[in-house]
Amino acid sequence: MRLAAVAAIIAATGAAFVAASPATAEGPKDPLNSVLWDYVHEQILEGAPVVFDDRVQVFAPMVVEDGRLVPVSVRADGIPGVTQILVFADLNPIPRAVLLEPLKVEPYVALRMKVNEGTAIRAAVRTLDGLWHLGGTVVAAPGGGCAAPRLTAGDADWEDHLGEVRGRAWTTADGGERLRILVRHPMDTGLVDGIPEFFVERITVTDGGGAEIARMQVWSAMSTDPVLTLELPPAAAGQGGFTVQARDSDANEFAGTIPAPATTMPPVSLQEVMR
Amino acid sequence: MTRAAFALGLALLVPAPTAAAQDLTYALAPMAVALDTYVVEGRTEFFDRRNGGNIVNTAFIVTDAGVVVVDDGPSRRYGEELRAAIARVTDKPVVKVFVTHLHPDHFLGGQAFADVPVAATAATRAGIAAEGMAVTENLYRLSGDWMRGTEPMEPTETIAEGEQVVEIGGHRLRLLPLQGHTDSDLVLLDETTGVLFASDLVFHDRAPTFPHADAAEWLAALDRLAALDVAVVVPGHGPVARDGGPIAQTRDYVQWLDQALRTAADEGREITEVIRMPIPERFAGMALVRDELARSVLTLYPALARAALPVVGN
Repeated sequence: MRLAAVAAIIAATGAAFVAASPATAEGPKDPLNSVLWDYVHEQILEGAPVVFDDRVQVFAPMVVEDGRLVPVSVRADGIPGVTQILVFADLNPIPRAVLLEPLKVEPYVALRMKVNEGTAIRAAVRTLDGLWHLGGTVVAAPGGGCAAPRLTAGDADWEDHLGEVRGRAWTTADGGERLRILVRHPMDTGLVDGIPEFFVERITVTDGGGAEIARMQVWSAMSTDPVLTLELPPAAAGQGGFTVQARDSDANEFAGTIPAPATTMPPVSLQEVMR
Repeated sequence: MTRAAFALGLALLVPAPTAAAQDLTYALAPMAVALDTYVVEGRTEFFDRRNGGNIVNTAFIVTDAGVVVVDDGPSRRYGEELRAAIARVTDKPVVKVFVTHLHPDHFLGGQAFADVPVAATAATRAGIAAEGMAVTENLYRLSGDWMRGTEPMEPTETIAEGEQVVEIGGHRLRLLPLQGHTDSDLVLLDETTGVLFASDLVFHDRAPTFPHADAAEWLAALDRLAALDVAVVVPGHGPVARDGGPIAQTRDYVQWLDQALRTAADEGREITEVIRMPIPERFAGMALVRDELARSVLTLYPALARAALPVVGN
C-alpha cells in the first residue's frame, strides 16, 4: 500500500472517530478516570447535567475474587429532594443494577451485583431539579461475573424455590428502621450460552399503613438471589411491617410480608479503610 | 492497604517484569528446626510477581531411608529449587512427598517430584483433579512468569482415612487427616522429633484464609492439635515456633471471626460494613489481617446473612 493511501485512511478514520465522540468535553472531569465515562454519561444518564458530589458515598471492596458477588452500598445523606438513585458499573455489558425511587425511605441502598471485569461502580443520585449527583468507587476483579454460570447453577432445586421471598427489619440506633429483602431468583443475564435472560425486574415495598415507601427497577446485573437493603428515617418508621411485591421478566409475581422489627441494631464503629 | 497503595500495586503489576525467566530464583534456604528436619519459610505476603508465590512453608525430613517432603510449593520452578536445596543438605534420595491440601501453593511444585510417590488424602486428590487447572491458571494470573511450565500434578498415592502411624527410616510419623481450612487437611506429627507439620490449619503472625473453610470444623481440628505433645510447630504460613502459640493464635482468630460474622448477620449489617469492622488489637500484628478479613467476609458472610432472613412469602 502506498503511503499516501495509508495517510488518507488514517485521516478518514480519525475524522469519523472525532465526529462520533459525544460533546461532553466541557463537562466536569471524572474523578475515577474511567475510560467509558463519556459513553456512560451519554448512554445511561442521557447526557443530562451531572455534578460529582462527595456526599454520594459508594462503598465496595477494593478487590473481589468472584465477580458474581460484589457488595455495594450507597449513602447520599445531606442531599435534599432525592428522586432517584441509579447504581451502575461502567464496564459491564449490563451496566445498570438497580434504580431506586426512595418515596419514603432514606437516600440509601445496599445491594450485591455482578461485574464482568474491574470497573468503576457509580451511584447517580437525581434531585428534583433534574441534576444527577455522582459518587463512585473502583473495584478490581477477575473477568467473567456477568458471563459466568450463576452462583446457584449447581443447585438442583432452584426452581422449587423460585420467587421465595426472605426478609427482616431491624430498628436502627437512631430510631429509624433497616429492611432487607431477598428474592430467590437466578437473575440470568442471557450472556451464558443457551440460558436466556430471566430476572426480577421490579420490586415495590409498602408499609403497614398501606403507603408505598420504595419502588425499584432491577436488572440482571444484580447477583443471583438478589438482596436489597433500605432504611427508613425515624419519622417514617413504626408503621408495622412491610409488604414486598416483585415481578420478573416472565411476568411471574411474588410477594412477602415482613414483620415489624423485633430487635434494635447496636451502633457500630467502622474503619475508614474503603476509600 | 490503602486504596492509593493498592492502585500503586496495580500500577507496578501492569508493565510485566522485564527480567528473563532464567533470572528468576527463589533462593530457597532450608533452616534446621530439629534433628534431621528442615523448613523453607516463605514470606507472609499475598501472591505477587515479586515473590513468585513463595509465601508458603515447605519442609523435609532426612531419614535413614531417604528424604520425606511435606508440600512442594507454588510452582514448577519452586519444586525444582526445593529439590536442589535438599540435594545440598543430603545425598539421600527423596522417597516420599506428602501434599497437605488442595491449595496451589502447596502442590504445584509436583513436577519436580514426578519420580517419587506423592501421597495425599482421597479428598485432596479428588479436589486437585477437579480444581487443579483452575487454581493453576489463577496463580499464573497472580505470580506471572515464575509460573512458566507449571502444570498441576495429581498426587499418586491415597492416604487411608483415620489417624495412623507410619515409620520411615527411623522416624515415626503420625498422620492426622483433619479438615476445616479445606475439606481435607493433612497434619503430620513426627513423634521421633516432636515436630508438628500443621498444614494451613495453623497460621502464625499471618492472617488465616477461608476460601474453602468451615469454622466449626477448623476449631475442632485445632482442639485435636492442641492436645498433641509437640516440641516445634511448623505452620503453613508464618514463622516456625517452639511452642503451641501459633495453634492458640489461629484458634483465637477463627473463633473471633466466626462469632463476629454471626453477630453481624443477626444485627442486619451489610457486607460493606462488616468488611470495615474493627479488628481486635491482639490481631493487629498479623500480616495482611485487614485484606484477609475482606476476603473472608466475601466468602463466608453471604450465607450467614441469608440464614438470618426468615422466609416471608413466595
